[in-house]
Amino acid sequence: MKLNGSTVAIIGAGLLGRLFAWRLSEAGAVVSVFEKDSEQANTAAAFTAAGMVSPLSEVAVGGKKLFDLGERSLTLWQQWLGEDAEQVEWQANGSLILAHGQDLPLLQQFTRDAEYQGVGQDHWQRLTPIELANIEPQLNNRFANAIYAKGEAALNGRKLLPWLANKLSQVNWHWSTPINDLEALQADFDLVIDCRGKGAKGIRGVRGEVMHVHAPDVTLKHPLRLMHPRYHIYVVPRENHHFVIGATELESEDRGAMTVRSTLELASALYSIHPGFGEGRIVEMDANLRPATPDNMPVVSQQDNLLTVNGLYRHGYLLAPAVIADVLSMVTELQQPWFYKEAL
Amino acid sequence: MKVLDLDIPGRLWLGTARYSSPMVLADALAVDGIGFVTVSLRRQNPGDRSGDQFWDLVKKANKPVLPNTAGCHSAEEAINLALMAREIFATPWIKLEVIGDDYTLAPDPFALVEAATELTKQGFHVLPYCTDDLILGQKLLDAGCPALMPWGAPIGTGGGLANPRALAAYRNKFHHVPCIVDAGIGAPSQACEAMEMGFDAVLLNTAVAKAGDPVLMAKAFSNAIQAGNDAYRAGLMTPSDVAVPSTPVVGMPFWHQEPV
Repeated sequence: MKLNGSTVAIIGAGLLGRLFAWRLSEAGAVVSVFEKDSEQANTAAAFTAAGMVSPLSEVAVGGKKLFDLGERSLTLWQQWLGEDAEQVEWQANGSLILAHGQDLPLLQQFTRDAEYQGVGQDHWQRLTPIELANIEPQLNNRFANAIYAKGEAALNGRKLLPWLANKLSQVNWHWSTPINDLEALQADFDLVIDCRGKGAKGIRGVRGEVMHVHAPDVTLKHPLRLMHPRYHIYVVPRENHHFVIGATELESEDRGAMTVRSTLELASALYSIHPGFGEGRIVEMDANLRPATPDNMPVVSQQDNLLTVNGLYRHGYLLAPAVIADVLSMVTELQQPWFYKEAL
Repeated sequence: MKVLDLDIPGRLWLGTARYSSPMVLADALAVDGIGFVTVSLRRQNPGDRSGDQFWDLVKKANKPVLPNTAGCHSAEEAINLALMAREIFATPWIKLEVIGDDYTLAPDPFALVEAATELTKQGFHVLPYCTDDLILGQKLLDAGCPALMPWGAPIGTGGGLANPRALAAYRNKFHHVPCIVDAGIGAPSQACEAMEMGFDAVLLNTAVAKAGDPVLMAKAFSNAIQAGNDAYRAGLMTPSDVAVPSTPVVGMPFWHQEPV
């Protein structure tokens, strides 16, 4: 099917929904987006996510397929954002993977796992303490064990999502409009894309908690990943000494406020990176649910003119561009991507 | 193997934490030779049933479920969690874990005995994760535990059998009850070693969950545990300090022997 001139309905205005709206508009489609919440509600998982685009950091658990999607997404983000990259705080000068002395085995395991998945040492660089100090001066003498993942990126989803909604003035945004009758929508539009995330059948929510901290004493230029026995802990620097740290990962669909224990774990990780975080202010705590499939991989399925795209799990910003590109070439060229499934 | 009157389908007992996805976990649980499957309630808000989708996947594996009290630091905490677990999983079985110190994750022997006594009174079948201390083992049996689970090495270290002599003595003393080596196992050879000593099963998690290919690693452990158990039942030879030829040399011409 040709996208140019066709009418497309998108259900869900999270990261996938908005990016689909953008790419389809660019391709000449007439796009309508239906979102159950108001424009200000910001309930999508993408508002909570720290916004890392880090294929290497995720390869150990996601495997080579996820890594490849992530590498393609890195390129697509740059292409798509172009000169607007600054508006969404896009930063692509690499990230640092750090381990405290007693967690060294975790870092060794990490590189071994990456190699096991077929991602070799040419994708990262081991740093001596001096090299680390050159790249990230405030971490001088703090970490004997560090890896530099060149090219990894991050962006600020809380800037990207409203930016897209404002920028795409040609899109018909239907806020506070839950969709109950899919068939009616399918009759009215050439193509319907359902990216509602959590709540779809076969999708489970995995709870994640993040903290926003303002720490004027701390200056970091790169997103950090700190090795931790239970979680994938990221610290993403935002503008003006603001930092996002996350995220816990709990097999639970509870969306309630952050727990004391999670606060302690994230805060102590933060403090262990730089004591300047100790006097930082906790500006916000946030908890949300990641939409996940049983194998934690993305999925697209098709029924007539209805496409369902879901399950980006912890990897929304890492996977969305490549997943969208693959889904669109499935529409135009009938090529099924590897994450196609008959049914969700 | 049996504990009390429960038939347990295998000697590799597997934890369910830290897998890359529920599907990988389900595939690992489908490997032959898996017995009890342990689940931790601690961090999943079991009270509000919000993690039900995950539990359903575990239940689908159709293995006997052994809820644990991982992360508890006092007898009281462990007892409360055990009561919650009994409700959710509808089972009287509980792996009792009371941690004495966060750095070594060493079991607290005193709290263990206290909690085991109380839980047994309330109708639980308590499988205690304990150190390899013989007197502690005896007190836990006195408290009513139907089996013992001494550690191989501290949790998550993958160090293997840190103190094989103590474990051999343990097996010897408690030959009449099922004994399971729990925690610290990093490689199939280590699990095999425990089984050769005569342990009834091995309980582990990280070595499988964090392997590059967890399903293949679960198979490797299952095979090693089977080998060790077969070897124990077959009767291991006693090592000797001097070479003992396996064929008679009496008839050998003297000029065929090495110069002395």
